[in-house]
Amino acid sequence: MFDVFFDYRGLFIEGLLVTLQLNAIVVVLSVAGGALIGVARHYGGKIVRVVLGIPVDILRSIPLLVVLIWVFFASPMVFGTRYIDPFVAAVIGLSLTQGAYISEIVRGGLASVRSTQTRAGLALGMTRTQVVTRVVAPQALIRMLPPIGSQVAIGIKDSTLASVIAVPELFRQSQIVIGDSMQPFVVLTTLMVFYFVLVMIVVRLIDMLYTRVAARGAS
Amino acid sequence: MRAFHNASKAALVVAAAALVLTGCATDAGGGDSSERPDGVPAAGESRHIDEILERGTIRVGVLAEFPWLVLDKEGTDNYRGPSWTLANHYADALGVELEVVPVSNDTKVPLVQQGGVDITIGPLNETDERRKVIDFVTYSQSSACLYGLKTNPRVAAVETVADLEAASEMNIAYYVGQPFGPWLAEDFPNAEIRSVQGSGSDAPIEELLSGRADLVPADAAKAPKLAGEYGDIVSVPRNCAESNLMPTPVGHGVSKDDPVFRDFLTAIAEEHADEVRQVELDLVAEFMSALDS
Repeated sequence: MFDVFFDYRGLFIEGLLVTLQLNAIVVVLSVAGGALIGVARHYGGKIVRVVLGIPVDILRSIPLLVVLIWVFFASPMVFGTRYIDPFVAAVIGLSLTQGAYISEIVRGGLASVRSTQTRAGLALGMTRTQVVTRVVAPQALIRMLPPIGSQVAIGIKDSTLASVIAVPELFRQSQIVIGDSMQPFVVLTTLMVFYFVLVMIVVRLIDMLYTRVAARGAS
Repeated sequence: MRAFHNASKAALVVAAAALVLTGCATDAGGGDSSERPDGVPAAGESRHIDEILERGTIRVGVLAEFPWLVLDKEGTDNYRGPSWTLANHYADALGVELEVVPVSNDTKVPLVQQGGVDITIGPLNETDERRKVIDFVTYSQSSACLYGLKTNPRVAAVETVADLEAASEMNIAYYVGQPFGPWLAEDFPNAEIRSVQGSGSDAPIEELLSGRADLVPADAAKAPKLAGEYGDIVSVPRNCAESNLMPTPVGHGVSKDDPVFRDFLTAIAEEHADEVRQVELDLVAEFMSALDS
């Protein structure tokens, strides 16, 4: 019954590699971008908070599918080209959306550290930078781990939407296999196993890391 | 030491100059219409041809679909089938290489309009709706068959199209985006017609297997594949090879704004029509013999 997996292993492996590559890039970009925006919104004052909040709210309000299709079809027009590589479009669309959510996780994590700790640090003669890097950030980072882990898991599953713009990731390759083999149940079951294993590995690694450092994040 | 630095600088300057000169020479060559292969329209007549010759590649949107464009199972970019054969003839005629651009059902037509690909060679049924937005280079024809499970008594009782027209309470499902909707509604008014979301397959087999639909439409060419994968499937009419349901031309999609390009490709398709047809027949025969063995 599962011969189809063996017969089309080349397509599945290609798809898995693209999925891993896509998500690795998206995680790096979205965490970096989200951290920058989250920190800026927390410490940047009212104007920065409001201005940076606009794109965050917009991206959180628009379905990812719409963002991906918009980036794929509209950005070539905006930048004066005719074509954008689907993989690049997917990286942009997924990173923007993921980054918006992660920025809120970062902002929430920073806000979760009581302000009395900041005041205590300043009273002890620490500079503001020292208070942030040595008191607030270490605790906040630990508290951010579980929601960031969940967001990464959601991101991996959401990356299947990139199939709509023909990124040859795992779901897209599975659709090709379904089209050729006419065996949707077998292929989709195989796909579920792939994603389950992939997401569980990522989630469990983040959980293990959190378990080791959780006590240091408590205040 | 200073001599060494001077020599390095000189080498860099020479290398940069060589690069610039090479670039200029390439540009000059690319824009020289005298280097066009025979039979290719002159510079300025077709925007697409000018861009393809300058680029050195013809960008083709690919979406595998048996028996027109078949992807190698190993996952390389090795395609075959009549559509691929014809695309290679286009490339040969223009003296360029094929550049494969994967497309999906959602992007295969818009990318032609937008200019992201020069041609979509993933097989396209030439529907009236599509003709409004893109042009076609026709190279094949499809017809439809309706497929059902022989274990379903309602399906087992229907052998011909006339039986089906007379049948009532038949539930027929097709994928959103497939061109079957208007035809089904018109030809089978007694049936309940449903459009369902696609899983990637060419026919909503999952609707049949789950018992939600009695029949699903698909290209008649899919009959051997479906018979090979599911022994319980029968078709209406029973012999799909003789089906004349919903005959639709199949073609390559090209932009509407460049008739010279379309006519150039059409001439190539007409020139190689017999060969392209034979490739399609051979592919179906190859699959049938694989089933028999």
